[in-house]
Amino acid sequence: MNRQRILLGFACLVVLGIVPGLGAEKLVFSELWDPSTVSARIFWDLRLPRLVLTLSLGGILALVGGTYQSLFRNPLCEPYVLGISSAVLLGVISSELFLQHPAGTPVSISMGMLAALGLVAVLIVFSASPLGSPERVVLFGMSANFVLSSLLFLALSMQSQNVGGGTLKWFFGFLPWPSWQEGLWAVGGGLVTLVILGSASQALEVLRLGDAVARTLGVAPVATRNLLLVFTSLVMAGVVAFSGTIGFVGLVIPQVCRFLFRPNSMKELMLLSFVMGAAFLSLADGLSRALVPPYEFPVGVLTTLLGGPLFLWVLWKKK
Amino acid sequence: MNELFEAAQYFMRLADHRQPSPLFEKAQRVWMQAQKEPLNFKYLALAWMDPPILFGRETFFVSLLNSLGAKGLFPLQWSTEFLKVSEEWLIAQTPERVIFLSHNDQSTQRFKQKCRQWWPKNTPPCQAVPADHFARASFTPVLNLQELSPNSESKP
Repeated sequence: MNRQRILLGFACLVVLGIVPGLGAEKLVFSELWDPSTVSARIFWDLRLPRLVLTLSLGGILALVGGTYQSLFRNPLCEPYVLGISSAVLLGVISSELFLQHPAGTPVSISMGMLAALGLVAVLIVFSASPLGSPERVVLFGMSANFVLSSLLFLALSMQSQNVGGGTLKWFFGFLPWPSWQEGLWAVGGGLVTLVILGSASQALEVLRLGDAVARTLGVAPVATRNLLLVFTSLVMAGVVAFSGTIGFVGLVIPQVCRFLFRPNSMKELMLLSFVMGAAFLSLADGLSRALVPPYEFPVGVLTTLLGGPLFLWVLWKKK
Repeated sequence: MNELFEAAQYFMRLADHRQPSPLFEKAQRVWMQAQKEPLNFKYLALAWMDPPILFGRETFFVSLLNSLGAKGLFPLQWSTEFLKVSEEWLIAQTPERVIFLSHNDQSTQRFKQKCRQWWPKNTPPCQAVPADHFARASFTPVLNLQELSPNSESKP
């Protein structure tokens, strides 16, 4: 197992070394230290902040995916299963349609967060009710997802092309070119998420054994689940408001980590998922920019194209 | 362009307009003038800003500018109507004019701000074209206009 972990570390270093060199423009490495050159601007002002952002977002997505799979005792759970992403998108698009604040502006992001909070409140009320078993919460979230997605498509289909042109990117996952400040905010968010979910890893491990066992071991299942639900939903609302829905990272990476490294504890799984998710999304982003320059693929398309076969490979090997 | 004027005259005859409209006459004057003094600049035409989407070679907008003598920086290997490009590709270009289809004052302001951000040293003149006035012309694929021409094989 140690050999595989060393390989993961090595693969991450390779990704970190390769990804800043991938993109629509070829960089002249001798010009990187001269800030007036195009190569230096592209490298320092565009590619590095973006790498920092993708590392954080990839880590968060894999981490939240792993958390949901344990929290709801369902290996098919992924960060978007509860419909938070659809709620955020509905908020963002409503702000564009009704308040004339385009997607990506502070007002639209606030609207997205508000919509997500509304859904979280509903999920918590449902979860605290006598009907709120983990399986039912997931099913409730999935149906909320369908309803909100339909509303989203209805709103889009009724609107003119200028709205559709800007909002389509949210469906396929689209990483912005962030400033250093935004990139560092994302790193902060990623680390806070890692610390908070890491500190809840023991409770998550107990919850996997079932609510009755959790109670006997001193963990309040409903309260813990609700707290984690609120926290992860807020994190996911932030991620979606920034980058749209990036599929497969949260579903595949924890599964691949479980399969490849067979971690002994939830904490270990979280750490491995975070590292591998960060490397995976960064690689997908680098490829999305470099495959057919100057065209830039939506990163969600690449994560699905890479993640799909990876998922099938894990399923095949697990049989 | 000549085909377009021919098509317009054809439709005017069909509609039994004896006198050409002032707008038509103005367009024809501008066109004749451009034949004498072609526009001589390299340009980028943006249909969308975030993500940056360029007007492609197959749009009327670009066809019009090119036939007036301007040189588009749209990558030649792509024969498409629109192309989403990477921001780093934009930064590496050196346009002498940037044209943007703006939807409102807010997007015009953001466009000017982006222009300064993309080309901080030599910011080219960045001109916002109001979408509500020009959307039909600018989003029309050039092929459709060619088909309207009376010289075309598929004339109505």
